[in-house]
Amino acid sequence: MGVELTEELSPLGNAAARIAAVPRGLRWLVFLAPAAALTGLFLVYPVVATIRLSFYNWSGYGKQQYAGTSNFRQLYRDHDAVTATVHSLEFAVVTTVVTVGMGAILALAIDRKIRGHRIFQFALFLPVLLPSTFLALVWAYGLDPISGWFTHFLQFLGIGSGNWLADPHYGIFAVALAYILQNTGFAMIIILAALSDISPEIHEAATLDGVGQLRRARKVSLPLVRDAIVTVSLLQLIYGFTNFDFVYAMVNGGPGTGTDVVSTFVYYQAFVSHRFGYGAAAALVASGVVALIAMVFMSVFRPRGIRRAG
Amino acid sequence: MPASPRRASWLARHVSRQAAYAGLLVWAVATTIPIWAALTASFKSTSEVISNPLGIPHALHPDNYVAAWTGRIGAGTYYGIQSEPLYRFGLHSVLAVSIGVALAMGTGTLAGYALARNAERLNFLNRYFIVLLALPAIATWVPLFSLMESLGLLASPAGLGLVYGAMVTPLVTVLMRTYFSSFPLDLVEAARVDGASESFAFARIVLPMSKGVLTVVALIQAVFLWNELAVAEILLVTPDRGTLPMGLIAFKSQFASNLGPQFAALVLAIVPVTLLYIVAQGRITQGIRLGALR
Repeated sequence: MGVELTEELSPLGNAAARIAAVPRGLRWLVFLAPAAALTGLFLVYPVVATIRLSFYNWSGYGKQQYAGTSNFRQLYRDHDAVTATVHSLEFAVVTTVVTVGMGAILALAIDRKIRGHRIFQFALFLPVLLPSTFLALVWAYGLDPISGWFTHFLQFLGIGSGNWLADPHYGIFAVALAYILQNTGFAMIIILAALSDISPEIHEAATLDGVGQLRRARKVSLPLVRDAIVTVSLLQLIYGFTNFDFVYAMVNGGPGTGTDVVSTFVYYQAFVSHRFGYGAAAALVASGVVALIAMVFMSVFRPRGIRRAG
Repeated sequence: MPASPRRASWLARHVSRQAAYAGLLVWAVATTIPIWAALTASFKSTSEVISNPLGIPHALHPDNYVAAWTGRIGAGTYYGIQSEPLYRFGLHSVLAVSIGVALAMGTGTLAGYALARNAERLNFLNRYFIVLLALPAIATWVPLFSLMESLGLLASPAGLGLVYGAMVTPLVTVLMRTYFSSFPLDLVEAARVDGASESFAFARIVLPMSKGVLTVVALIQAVFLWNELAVAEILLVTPDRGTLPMGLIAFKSQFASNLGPQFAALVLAIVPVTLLYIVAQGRITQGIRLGALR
């Protein structure tokens, strides 16, 4: 170890020294090979194959026919594909705004150690660990226009009800409701962790200066956890845009049922309609949109504590 | 005059505290009400699920749990129809998740250690795993199906376990690399001076000292995979080979007319995770934070 250390610190610790060090590094290859092989086979190869497949027509059996860029041109004109993308964007934006906003408020409240804060934290975070399928199905039963428990509750409050899940326009927001109630706990726990890292002296100083609770939250606490909020917002945007579980379990429709999002669109095209090439092209475009969202978001809200990725 | 702003601020503080409390209470009820709804409905007859959806059951029907567990949940015109029993879906889940977690912990811990010990030299490999972390799963779906088909692992929960292992290996690798980067190396060096090999030092010194972290990381991967739906739906093809989340969906589409057993199945599906959370709340929240803010 000592030898390697001086080697790295020496001014000659460049290309030549690195090449000389390779044989000794071979033993580390044994440590790295299993992870590299596993991810190479089941992650890297499928991504490369997705790119290739998106230029072919294939039913999943038999011959693959080269199709040039026709899959992409068709996607652009496909009304269902465009609707699915719009739904995914709506879903991502609505769920991110509400989960991060509510998550921050709940985290501030729990951080103030209000009475019962432990029970609140337990109850608010528990859904994050539950299977999305469980929550999605229980909410789907609840939203049933005749027998649903949520419908009954709304009638009890005197609010009318409708068959929201079947509504081509509002269905996605009914799904978002269930999703939000799960993921707010995730945003909360991340922001809460950052809040608890703030030194108590800062709060004491603010209190001595006569700064009220609400103002202190807005002017002191929230700016100090800005990076956590940015990170969790980005994660929520990406999770929201690519979410599959909730839409699939709650609506369980098919192509063109009006509540499709990008992930269910890819699923139905490839595995129900057996259009593997078309599904691959849609998956590729969706991944591109994810990358675009991430880049735009990070260029606007780059975390201050993190340097430009090097 | 000095009294009035003081009073106003007291009032504002008081009101804001009460409002915050009320808001917190409403939100906590909203997040936990699905559990209450499922739990109460799981003990009701189908007609009571519809007539009294949120109340306490008038008459208890624990047989709903027997029906869900054994899969005999056909009612009405479907009376006597046998579905795949819930425990079978559970076994498929246990198989896929254990293989996935074991693979990812094994390969990811080894790789994370190697990356931490060779931070400079192996930086490009470190970036490889970070890029994989950012990869949307959807970009792998379509070819995964044909890959597993050609390997003869379609409709195989064990085969799904292999894919699960690969899916969480990048996160395990990055988390373990971060942890090992601050691991005290004096002990390893001492062992090396005494003639021990790197592998020996890793197995006998580093691993035993890292049990706590390994447990936390394994737990959150297990919870994540236990809840996974999309890749299972794609690779297990038929519902009777499915995992627990697939089973819940299959129950709903097959036996829509018999609600009690469906809710019993839903409740059974969340028992393991809920128990785990009650026992290891601290470790699990710590793990989720690690995973998000790596």
